[in-house]
Amino acid sequence: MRMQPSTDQRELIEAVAGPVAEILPLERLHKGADGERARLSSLAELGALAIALGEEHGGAGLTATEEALLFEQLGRQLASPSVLASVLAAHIAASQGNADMAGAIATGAEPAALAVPSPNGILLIDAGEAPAHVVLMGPDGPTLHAGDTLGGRKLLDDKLWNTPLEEAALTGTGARGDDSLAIRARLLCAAQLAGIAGTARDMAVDYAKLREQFGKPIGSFQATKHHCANMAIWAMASADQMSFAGVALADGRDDAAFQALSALSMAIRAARTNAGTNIQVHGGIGFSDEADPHMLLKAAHLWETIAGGEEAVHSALLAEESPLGGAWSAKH
Amino acid sequence: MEFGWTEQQQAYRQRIRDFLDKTLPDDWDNIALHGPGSPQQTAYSKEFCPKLHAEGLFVPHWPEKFGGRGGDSWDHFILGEELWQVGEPRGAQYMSVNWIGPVLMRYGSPEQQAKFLPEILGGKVTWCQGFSEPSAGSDLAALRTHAEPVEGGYSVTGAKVWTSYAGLGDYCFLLARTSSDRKGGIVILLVDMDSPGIQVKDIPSVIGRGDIHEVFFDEVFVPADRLLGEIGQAWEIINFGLANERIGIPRYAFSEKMLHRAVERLKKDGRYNDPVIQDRLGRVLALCQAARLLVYKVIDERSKAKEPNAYGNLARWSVVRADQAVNDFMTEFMPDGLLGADPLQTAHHQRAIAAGIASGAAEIQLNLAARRHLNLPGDR
Repeated sequence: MRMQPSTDQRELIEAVAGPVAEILPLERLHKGADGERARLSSLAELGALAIALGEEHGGAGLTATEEALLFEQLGRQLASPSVLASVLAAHIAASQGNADMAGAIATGAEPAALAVPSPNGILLIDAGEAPAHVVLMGPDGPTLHAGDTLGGRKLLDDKLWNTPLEEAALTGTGARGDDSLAIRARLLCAAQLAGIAGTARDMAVDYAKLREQFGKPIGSFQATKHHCANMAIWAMASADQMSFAGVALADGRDDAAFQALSALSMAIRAARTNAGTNIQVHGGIGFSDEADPHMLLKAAHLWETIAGGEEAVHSALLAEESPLGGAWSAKH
Repeated sequence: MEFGWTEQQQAYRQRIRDFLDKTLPDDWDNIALHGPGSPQQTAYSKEFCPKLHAEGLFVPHWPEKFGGRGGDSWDHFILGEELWQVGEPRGAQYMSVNWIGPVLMRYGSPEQQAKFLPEILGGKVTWCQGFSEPSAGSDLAALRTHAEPVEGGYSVTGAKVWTSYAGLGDYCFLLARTSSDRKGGIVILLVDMDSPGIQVKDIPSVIGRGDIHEVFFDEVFVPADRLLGEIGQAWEIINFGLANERIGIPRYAFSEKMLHRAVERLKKDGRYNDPVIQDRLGRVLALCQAARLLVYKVIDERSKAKEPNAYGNLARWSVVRADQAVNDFMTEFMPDGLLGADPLQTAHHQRAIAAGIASGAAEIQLNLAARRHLNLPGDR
């Protein structure tokens, strides 16, 4: 067993980081989230939707570790939740033995949209026109629903989180994947959030080296420097915890659920804290529409919601047992 | 890094636990409440450490030629986790095995190694760390304690403050300077604490007695053979020692133990399922877990003999943050523990208060991380 991904695993994902960034430049989001569907197809062509899908379904047959590292890169570029929806939908279809559907989703031919439960039904995120599938991120894990069971769609907002949010309703109960899929869903959310935290850190550090006040780069002042170092710690702690959880899940370890929840807890706070601090480091430009920082904060909030919220994550975490060192055991 | 403790590591951890069960006296918990530098714990450490060594568990990570077992950094850290969790029965001697010994092995003369290392292994000597001064805290290189070269050695005059474990210390790992050259002028002297001219004053504080002191040096003679390393090498040695010191105490182990106790008490009081408590507890638990993983990465690199890097600074800060988060949680939600209901909580509280200051203000770690890890420009 390994604690962290191997060098090979990391190099593989680093190799696709460039193409992912080309498909998903952050600038695209200034024009609103239109065109994300086309980008989903480009990601599918890259194989990004099928990295951990079995080879019999046209996937690359890699593990949850590579998949999580890929989602960190997707998170860095603020990929649409539809990417996660498609990946989870393909996993559910595959675990149900529906190879055709899994393949169609993974190639982008049948796009999926992500939704979370809401008091009035569901909150549908960046769904575009007539998604073929909907993945609902319920408290017990994701469920897969046919797009034609979707009704009552009403746009609520497309500014608040920089993405179209709709109220909608689903009929029927949807299909579940195997037991590990709930863990995988949390892991990939954690990865997406850790990616946001990393981008926020890089953006702040770059700006702190560039922007001058009092005749010096603001990054030379301790006030700014400490912000940046704190961001580095959040980004590193959340990314490490996430990749550690990825290895735990890939190895089928008993503590995978605990590690994924712990990663999610760290990643939620890392993304939110770093996105907020990045705006502070940028000063006024940080929250203007023309600059990038505000998009990270909006994405952090969006993904926290997709992950079920911090409180639910913490309750679930406490219900798990940590194996490390043997000091912690909530079940005693 | 391989994960999942190996069978050997699990057996090793169990061996430590069995040894502690067998060895610690019935009133150990009362001894441990006084803190590692207290007279009670120091006295007990001199009984305990020789037994620990006889069991092969005192310096398992030291090379065989210096009396260790040639184990790796994991052996060292598993040991530290178990001992720190029960309240550190090694007292101040943890410092000797964590970094004083390793520094002597790397930089000491053969004569110094032959004298000091066996003494450390004997388990009856304690060292104190003569670093900070009234005008040299975070800016350690501003230290002014003067070492005047005299015939046969040095005459040392100056004042140290916050000196850990000086009250009962046998030796001082002393930083002084022979010239005004900021870093190049510093020398390290291995000083007998019973040398004429040394005066030690306890600094009473919320963290208890015996841990921190003022130490005054008034023309204290230190023989030339007590100079560690070469002239001009001190700053390198200090950095090596500090890297071992920063990631030396597995504080998260004690933090997690306290969380465990908190859960037990909260359940007993019917408060465990309170949603606010659940949220805060989960948050703190994740912080402890993250700190542990960051430290493990540092230990992994250390076990592969890689040179210390900025990762240690980031890990150190994470450990401090986790420890303080546990303390904040308990202080906020179970303050009665600090008023007699749980003496161990009080002991943890005292250590957590010092965690962000001991071995250098935690903010210094942020400066180092900004410079070494993020390549941000310096402020001068």
